[in-house]
Parts: sequence; C-alpha cells; structure tokens
Amino acid sequence: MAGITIKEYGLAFVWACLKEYLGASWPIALIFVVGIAVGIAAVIMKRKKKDPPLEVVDARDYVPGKYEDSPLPDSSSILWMFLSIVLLCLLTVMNPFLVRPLIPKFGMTTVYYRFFWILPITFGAAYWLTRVVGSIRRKLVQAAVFAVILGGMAFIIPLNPGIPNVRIPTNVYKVDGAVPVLCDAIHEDYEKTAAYQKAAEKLAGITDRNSKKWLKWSGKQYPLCVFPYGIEFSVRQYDPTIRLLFNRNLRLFYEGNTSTGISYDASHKRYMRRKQVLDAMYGKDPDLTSQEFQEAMEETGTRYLVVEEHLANGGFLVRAGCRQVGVVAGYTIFRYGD
Amino acid sequence: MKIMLLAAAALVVQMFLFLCIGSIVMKIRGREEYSLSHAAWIGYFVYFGIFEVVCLICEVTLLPLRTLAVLMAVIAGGAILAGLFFGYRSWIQAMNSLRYRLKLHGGTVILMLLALAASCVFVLLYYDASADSGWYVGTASTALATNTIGRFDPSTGTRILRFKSRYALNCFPYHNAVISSLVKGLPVIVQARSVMSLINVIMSFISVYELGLVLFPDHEERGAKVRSIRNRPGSYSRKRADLFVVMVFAVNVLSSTIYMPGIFLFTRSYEGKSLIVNVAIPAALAVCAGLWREIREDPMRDLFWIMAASVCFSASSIMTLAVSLTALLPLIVIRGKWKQLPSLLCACLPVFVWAAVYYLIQHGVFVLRTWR
Repeated sequence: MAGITIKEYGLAFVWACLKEYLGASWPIALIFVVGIAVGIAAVIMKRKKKDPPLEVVDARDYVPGKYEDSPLPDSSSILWMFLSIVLLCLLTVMNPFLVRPLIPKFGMTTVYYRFFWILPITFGAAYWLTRVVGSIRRKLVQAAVFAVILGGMAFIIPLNPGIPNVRIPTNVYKVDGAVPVLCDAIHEDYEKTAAYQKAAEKLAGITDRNSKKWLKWSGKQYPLCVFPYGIEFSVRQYDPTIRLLFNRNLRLFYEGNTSTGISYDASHKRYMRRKQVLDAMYGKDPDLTSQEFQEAMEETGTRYLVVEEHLANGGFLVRAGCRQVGVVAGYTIFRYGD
Repeated sequence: MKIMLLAAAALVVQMFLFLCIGSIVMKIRGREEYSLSHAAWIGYFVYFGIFEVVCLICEVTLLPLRTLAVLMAVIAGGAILAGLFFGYRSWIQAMNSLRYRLKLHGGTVILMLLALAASCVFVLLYYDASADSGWYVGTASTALATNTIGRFDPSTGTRILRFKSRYALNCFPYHNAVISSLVKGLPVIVQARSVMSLINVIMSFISVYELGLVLFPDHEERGAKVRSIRNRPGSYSRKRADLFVVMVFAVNVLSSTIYMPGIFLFTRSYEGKSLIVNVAIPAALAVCAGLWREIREDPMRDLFWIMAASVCFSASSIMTLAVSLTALLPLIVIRGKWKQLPSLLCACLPVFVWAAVYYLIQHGVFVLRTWR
C-alpha cells in the first residue's frame, strides 16, 4: 500500500494497512464487528434460556414446520463462519509477528491490502443489515428502516471514488479521442522509413515463428514511442503495434507514483536514459545537452516523441535532431532519425 | 455501429456458452430442474477452469494464438451443442415457471435488477487510462496483434525471453484475445473493457445472490403461516437474497478507498483481481456457508471449479484459497467432519498446483523460454 512499509511501521504495519484499506468506509467494518458481537450475545442469551415445556396443539392450529425439531444448523452457523475466518486471519496473515518477517520476503508489501479481501467485511456488513431489515414484519416499516439505513450510510460514508469520475466516452474504444488519430499518424510516417522496410524484409525471410530471430525482428517492425502520461497507458490497449519506451513501473516512478514499491536512482542506467528523453520533451532539465539527449535516443532506439502542443520543448528537440511530423489533436509528434 | 452490434453478439454468445456448459454440469450431476442464472454461473467457472489448462498448454508449447482460438472454438462449439441437447427441456421448464418464480421474489427483485442495471451502465460508461488497465487489456491486444501468447511485454511491446510466473500462469486476458480472434471485426479493447466487464459484473451479482440464498435458507422461515403464494417454499430465501444483493451493492457504492472490492467492481471489472474479489470470493463463501449450514449437496465440486477459474483470473487466487481454508478448517475440526478434509484438499488442488509451479519457476528450478 502506498507509503506504508514494514520498515517504517514494524508491528503496527497491519493496523496501518487496515486503516488505509477502510479509509472513511470504517462504518462498514463497524457494522460487521457489531453484528458479530450482537450475534455472540444472542447465542449466549439463547443458551441460558431453558427449553420450553411440551405444548399440546389443536390440529386446527397446526402450522407445518413450526413444531418439528430443526435438523439443520440455525443462523448462528454463519456467525461462527465469519468468526472463524476473522480469528484464523488474525492468527496467520494478519498476525503482526508473522507479517513483519514474511511479507517483505514474499515481496507483498505493496499488495498486502489484498489480504483484507479474505475478511468478509462487505458481505458480513450486508448480511447483518439484511437481517435487521428482514426482521421487520410490517412492509411499510421495513421499507422506512431500509431507506433510513441506506440514507444514513450515504450521509456518513463518502462515495466510491470511481463514481464521480465517470465520463461519457467519446468513442466505442473508450480511450481518449486523440489516441486513434495519433497512432494512425505515427504509422503512416513510420511505414515510409528505412527501419520499417528493413524489419519487414528480415521478417519475410524468417519462417520459424518460434525462433529468437523472429521475436527480435517482429518487434522492430513497430515504432518505439513516448507518449504523454495521460494517454500512455491506453495507447497499447488500442494499438499494440506501437511500442513504448517506458514500461509500467518506470513511467509510474518518473511521474512520482511510488505505489509499486520500486524505486530507481542515478545508478540505474536504463531508467536514467529514459528519464533524459522525457526531461528533454518537457524541458525539465536545463542542464541536459543535445549530445546527451541524442545518446539516450540512440541507445534506446526511440523513434517518436508525442508531446502536448503547449508543453513541448520544440526548439530543443529540433536542434537535437528531431523533425516535427505534425500537430494532431493538440499533440505535437516529433520523429528522431531517418 | 458495426462494432457495437458485434459486441452485443459476443456478449450474448459468451453468456449462452456459459449457460450451455452449466447445463452439461447439471446433467452430469443428475439435476433436471435448475435456474438458468445458476447454470450460467457454474458454467462460467468451469469454462475458465478449462480455458486455463488449454491456454497454458498452448502458451508453454509456443503455439500461436490462432491455434488456441481454433481449439477453444471447437470446445465451445461442442459445449453449445451438448448444452442445447441436454439442457433445452430444463430451459423450457425454467422459462415456463418464470412468472411463478418472479412472484416468489416479490418487489425486492425490482430493487436488485435496478442495482444490476445501474452497475452495468456504470461499467459501460466508465473508462480511464490506468497502468493496470494497460497491462490487462494490453496483454490481450498484444497477443492478438502478434498472434502469440505471452511472448511480448504488454506494456512496451518488446520481446521477452522467458515467461514470468507472475503473469504467464494466469491466462484470463487471453480469453479476450481468443474472442476477438474468432469474432472478426470486434476490437479486443471493446471485448475486454465493455463486453467482458458487463459479463463479469453480471457474474458478480449472481455470485452475491448465490451467497444470499445460502445465508438465508428457507428453513429459517419454517413455521410462518402459508397465507399466499409469497410464503411458498423458496420465497423467503429469494426475497432475502435479493435484499442482500442490494445491500452489497450499497456497501460497494460506499467503498471509499481504492483498495476495497467496490472500486474493483465498478472501475476495474475487466481485471483478474476484480474477478477474485467480486466473483470468486463470494462464490467460495457461498460454498463454505452451504457447508456450515449443511444445505448443499457435495458443494466441494463447485469449489474445485471456483479454484480452477481463480487460477485463470489472477495470481491473487491465493486469496480464494485462504477464504476457503479459514472458513472450512474450523468447521471440519469443530464438527469432527474429517471425511471432508480430503475433498477440501482436492477442491483446492488447482491453487496448490499453481502455487507449486509458481514457486519452481520463481526459484529457477525450471525456465520457460519464449523461443525454441
């Protein structure tokens, strides 16, 4: 989980993660816990009650099923199921003394939140709420209680963060409208280059599609590009024949997102070269020279740089050997090399 | 327009395929009367369990994606024919009794259907450009574009020289590539982000509904006077299950962090992780609750397929295993049902096998190369 490490929190790691996991939705967990507590109290109370004396029933008052012994476990069995899941989790995957040495060993610090999925908080809370609403016999009162519960929860707990972010998609692919036109423009330009022709020729001569050689050249027939962060991750969903310079973790780290738990420093040459390309695109590093930029482009084999028109460090890029291919949908496309 | 029609057709065909597979399973189990949603739900898990095995074999033997697509088309075609043959009587019976069963649900079914409709509309509209969506959808689109399975890095498109156990062993994204390969003209991004998202949300609702049926069995209402059709057998359980689904929907709408199941349901429904938390875990809980309540016949068979499908969905299948073990081991110990221990272990076998292979690859005991 972002910003929570075992190194920093030690034995409090599990608690810190749980707080981060629940956030402002803690009342849901509270409903689950209170439900279990009330359930246990109800079971204890029930056991204290003595068995009622045998009842003589007139055949006319007989209701099927009312007087037979139930052969099936009652609702308390669900309570015990919830309780056993919680207790076993507390003893194992949520035991701070086990978590501290084991979770970093398995590389699960950043994905530890998934262990909270084992706890039936959502289903448990919904179960208790359903029991409360369902226990009311009169329909009108039941509907009113249902509305009050939902209204109260909506008043206390913030909405799912995805809901306010919904937008009407502008195309059937559900990607930014600029992505299809940018991809088309890049392909149109790249197919005229010598690099594309060479890769196509080499591939035509390779018959074994399971060879290492085929793997190598089949990649090279596609242009290697850098896109702005806002659209980068949707480019290959829409058009997998565009190659990207940055992989997921490298790009997230460059943009300041450390949720992956991976960090790169100056000794990481692969990252530093890629960083120089992005720094040059946006003019983020005034000390970066044209030569350093060219080395980074050559080493990585990058062909196309796509930058927001108003943010592009165009002067530097052109001086450093890039050629402006065009301005498409508010983005400027630069090509490096022939 | 053409893409939207193809997407609608793909949605219908895939749901029908799951129904057919489920009907075959029901026939094998000797059940003639069953609900269509229950059959489709079982079929969904069985399909992805089978897909995982077939896809994994094709992946490690470096067969092209097209071969996998043809294999799956043959399997799916056979399943549809067999499902039609074995299931049509039960389907007609289910359709004939639809009105009666809807009466058993009462008004709460309207609330449940509204919640389902709202969720479907939301996942159809929602889109983002998250890093994880890039990986899941990128894996499928890369496989389709290169006619390979897992041999290129989905986030960059560069070749990889050996399969990584974390990604290569969970084949769910390739299902989307297979469908797009078979339905010419259907872009893989539409299949993954719209069609599959819808199917997954529907399956999530059915999983929760199945859990509700087990949490609120009819025998709880024993003794209530039979006054109208609404108090007939099956009515109590259905009404409570409907209400339970609405409550889970409400809790998901109010899941305010990016880690809770709600955000995965509404915004990441095409990801394997989301399927673990929103489909497989409630399904596994339904099996466990059925065992605690002793109201389901041999539910371990369902658990086996849930586990197999979980392995297909994501490496987080280990969470489905954890839910099942933490829920069932105490039951076996407390009630002394030691005979259920071997069947529980057999049901969990897909995840155990996956974990063993994962461990061996991670520690370099064997290497799966992407080339010969």
